[in-house]
Amino acid sequence: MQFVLKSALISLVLVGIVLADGIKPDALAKDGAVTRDRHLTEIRDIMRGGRGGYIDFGFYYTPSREQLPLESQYGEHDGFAFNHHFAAFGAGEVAKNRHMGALLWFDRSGWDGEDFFLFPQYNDFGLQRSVVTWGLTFTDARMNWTLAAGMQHQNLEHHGKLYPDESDSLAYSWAHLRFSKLSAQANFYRTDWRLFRVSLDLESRAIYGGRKSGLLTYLPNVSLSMYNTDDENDIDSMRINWEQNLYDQRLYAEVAIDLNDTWFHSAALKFYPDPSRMIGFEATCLNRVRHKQLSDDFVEEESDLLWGGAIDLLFARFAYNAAYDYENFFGAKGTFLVEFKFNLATIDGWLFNRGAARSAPMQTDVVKQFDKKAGSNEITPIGSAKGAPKTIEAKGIRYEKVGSEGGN
Amino acid sequence: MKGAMKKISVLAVLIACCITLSGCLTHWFLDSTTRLQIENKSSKTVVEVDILAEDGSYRAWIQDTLRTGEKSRVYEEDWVGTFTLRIRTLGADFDIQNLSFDGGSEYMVLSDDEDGSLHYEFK
Repeated sequence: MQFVLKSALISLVLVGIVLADGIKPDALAKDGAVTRDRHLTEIRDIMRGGRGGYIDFGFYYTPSREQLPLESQYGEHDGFAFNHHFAAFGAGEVAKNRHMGALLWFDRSGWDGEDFFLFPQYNDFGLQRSVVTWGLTFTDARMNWTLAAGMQHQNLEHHGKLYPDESDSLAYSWAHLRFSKLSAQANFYRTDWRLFRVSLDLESRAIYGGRKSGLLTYLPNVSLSMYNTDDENDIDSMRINWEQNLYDQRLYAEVAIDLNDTWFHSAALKFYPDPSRMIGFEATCLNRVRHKQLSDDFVEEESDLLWGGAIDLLFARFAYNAAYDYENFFGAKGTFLVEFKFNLATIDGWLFNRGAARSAPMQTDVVKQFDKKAGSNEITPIGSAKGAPKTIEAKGIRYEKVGSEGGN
Repeated sequence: MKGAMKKISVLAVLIACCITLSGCLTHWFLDSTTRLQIENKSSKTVVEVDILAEDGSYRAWIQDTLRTGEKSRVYEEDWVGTFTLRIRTLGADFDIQNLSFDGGSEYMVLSDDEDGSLHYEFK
């Protein structure tokens, strides 16, 4: 049985690699904005508490160079799409219920002719970019509000001959303000705005002092994001994200809707065996919209649905056509992706994964173990059968009155 | 506690393996550039070898002029994958569609085809 399962898995992976689709230079060129937006959504999730700590690191592992080739106008270039990411946040209590902290999010991603960890090949068709988001945070836990602000730096280390010019920029700034369950985010490039996001995280989360169960945990988390990609001050696109607890904070539905002609953007059904989200399974559906330039002023819009899924096992994530990877890994599809990763958030000593509503069960295990230990230290009368009620006869037991300090 | 330590060290070794595998290791046995040399055994004079783009534009690879019996120098470029090669001769251009380069040294011999076009062979 195990052999059958193993060979099925291996052949699936092989099929996945053989049938892989190339990634487009266009997707690589646009990824800076995508990464900066993702950093801010992750920061929003962590700032729901605004205190404690968070650590995240990971990288995609694509063993074959035919797995994610670059599909340029010249043909298919063999190589590797890559994404290395790291994030950390830590806050300390500077006065009672007042927490100050610092955060840093880092992504290095792109496409290169070689697989590497530090030094890429930098060939004629590759692109390597890093995005850093950093900031300082302040949280008043009693009044339940958080203010965080900082800068974003986008640095294009190298770009080949296929990509539009992009200047390095230190000039992105961002701010995040949360009051209870309502939060607002803004992102600026010099004096032009790039993003405004309003989030209403209505779901009651035990980790932040809310309910463990009941109707309040079924309230939705909704956010509205407005994007502006150019120097003009109009809104270029708007997206609504809706996250809904369906069952016991273990089963969630997520829907993203674009406020334009296409409407439906993506939907996901996510199952977390434990509400701490250490392990997750998801099935996703994404509406792929492609624009075909038929002539100078006539653009045809084509769309199809991309179905996929992913398994997240705390240290590794396995995905096929998952919406998250399509959006955050240059439209990667048609191939099995493995991401080695780890992320953990903590608040008041409780552990959970980003976005979770309750803490990890490990904590209760510790308590149980402690109980067991205490139990084994109990005096058991010799010869008493297992399971029989324990009786301790009070023979010569002497009580000592212990004073509150230092004994008698 | 010991069991947990063992698990963590096994995981650490696994992750370390993956990191090493991901660190340029395939470059030890796979070339990430192609070194192309062309020998012209055809009766035509080759003036340029290009990689053709979808929109009709091109990028030159070899710009040596090769008369019958001549060899080009070796040119190293980042073309690894599947491309369309255009061989320009005096008089006509010949396209080789979906030509796959796996990297490393490639020695291409051009010769006359029976129907008047070019025949290519890798040696």
